[in-house]
Amino acid sequence: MTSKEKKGFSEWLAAHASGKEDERALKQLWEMTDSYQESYRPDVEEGLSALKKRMELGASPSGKVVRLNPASKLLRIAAVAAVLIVSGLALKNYLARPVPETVATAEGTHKSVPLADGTIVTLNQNSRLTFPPAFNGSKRKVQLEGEAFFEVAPDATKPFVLETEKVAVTVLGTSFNVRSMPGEPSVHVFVKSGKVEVQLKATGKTYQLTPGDLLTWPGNSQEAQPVKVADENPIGWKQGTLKFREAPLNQILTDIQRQFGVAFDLKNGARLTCPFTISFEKENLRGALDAIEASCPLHFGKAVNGTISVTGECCK
Amino acid sequence: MKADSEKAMETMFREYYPFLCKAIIRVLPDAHLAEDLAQDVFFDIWNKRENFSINTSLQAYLRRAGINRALNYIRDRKIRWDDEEKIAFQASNLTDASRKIEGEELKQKIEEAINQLPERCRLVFTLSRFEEMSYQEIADQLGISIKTVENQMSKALRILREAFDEELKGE
Repeated sequence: MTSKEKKGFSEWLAAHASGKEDERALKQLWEMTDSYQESYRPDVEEGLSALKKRMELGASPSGKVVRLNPASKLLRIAAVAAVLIVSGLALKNYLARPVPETVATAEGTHKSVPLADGTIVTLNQNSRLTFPPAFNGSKRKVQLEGEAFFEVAPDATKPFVLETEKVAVTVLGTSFNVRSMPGEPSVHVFVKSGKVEVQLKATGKTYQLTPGDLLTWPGNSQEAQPVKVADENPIGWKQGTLKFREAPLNQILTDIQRQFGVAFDLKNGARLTCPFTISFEKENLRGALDAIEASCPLHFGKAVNGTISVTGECCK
Repeated sequence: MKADSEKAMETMFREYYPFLCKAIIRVLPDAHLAEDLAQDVFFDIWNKRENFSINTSLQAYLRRAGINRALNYIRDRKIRWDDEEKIAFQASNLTDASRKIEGEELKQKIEEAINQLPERCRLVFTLSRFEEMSYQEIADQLGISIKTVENQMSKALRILREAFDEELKGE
């Protein structure tokens, strides 16, 4: 929960809960309803063409929507909005800012995107990068949806700031990987070289990362944990490789989960601590799982909503 | 210069229109209406573009403007807050109650359950849950007493708890 949400929820508790049972049920109800209207997607193109028509005519719309009498009705309810319209960020400036560019990748494709400052961004599949044609401000700001590897051109006077829905990553000159896929609750930040500062938007907490650090934030719980990794598997997607040397099986499964965006559901608490040396080259998910099944009496079920059940025993 | 402004407006629209529609539809669950109202907000900004400034984020401004429009729209339809509820809500319409569901099916059921709440109940619930408004703010916005807000919330929560009886058990 964000701090604002906590405030709203505490009001529920104060007014409608009398006992632990109520509190638990309300908490669950609060969390469950988070998905309300989540699947709704407006048609942006249709909306835009309607707006453009109105802009051309320069007139108020007719018909469908009841136009409000601004004097009487709006006044009462728009008190909050009125406070906002004081001064500050001029919309004119916003409207005059350089129009950002967007590069997106489809399923199964990668793309290398050079930015104006010399930074190179390698986009993984199903990802989208938004960036300005030139970095004019005091910061180099770009936005990402999905996963990408950044080789940031050094410029100590102008920090490079990458934002996703869930994290903000600030660097001066370094190379790092971010995976923040829409639809996946977790976020992963891996640093290959240089120093990186990551801020989790949900908690506001910041983390300083150095080369070899992999920060994983599971999404719902509030704690993120940086760990040192000896391999470069977090950026294995670029070459389509994952390499493990005497790595415990659960580590291998964790990396596979991240690379392919799936979740394993371990049945019967299968023990997975024994070491494996295995590498996957340009393997798809099923190929990688088959390779593990071939060397171990484990069975991976069919993916259901991105979750794969794992049965059997592997490590005695 | 005009062409530049148009292009910038288009960029802003692409960036924020889905966000704004989603904020509105949670209060006014009708896609056509939500989209019309969202377009109104952008059109309004376009008309005021020469002398218009805000001291909050554009996102926060758009959201507030959109929600205000939705509330005005609802008020224009003259919902009578002192009416006795006429719509009987039946949890059993939604699903056979004894089966625990999850995933997409659960999301679907949440959608339906909230949409089927009596209108004033739904409105109070969604403003509290999604708009981060306190009961006092909701009361002020809707021109009703805080006691009414509490009663409507109690009712909404009771109906939803009954509808999700199975899902809310245990864990």
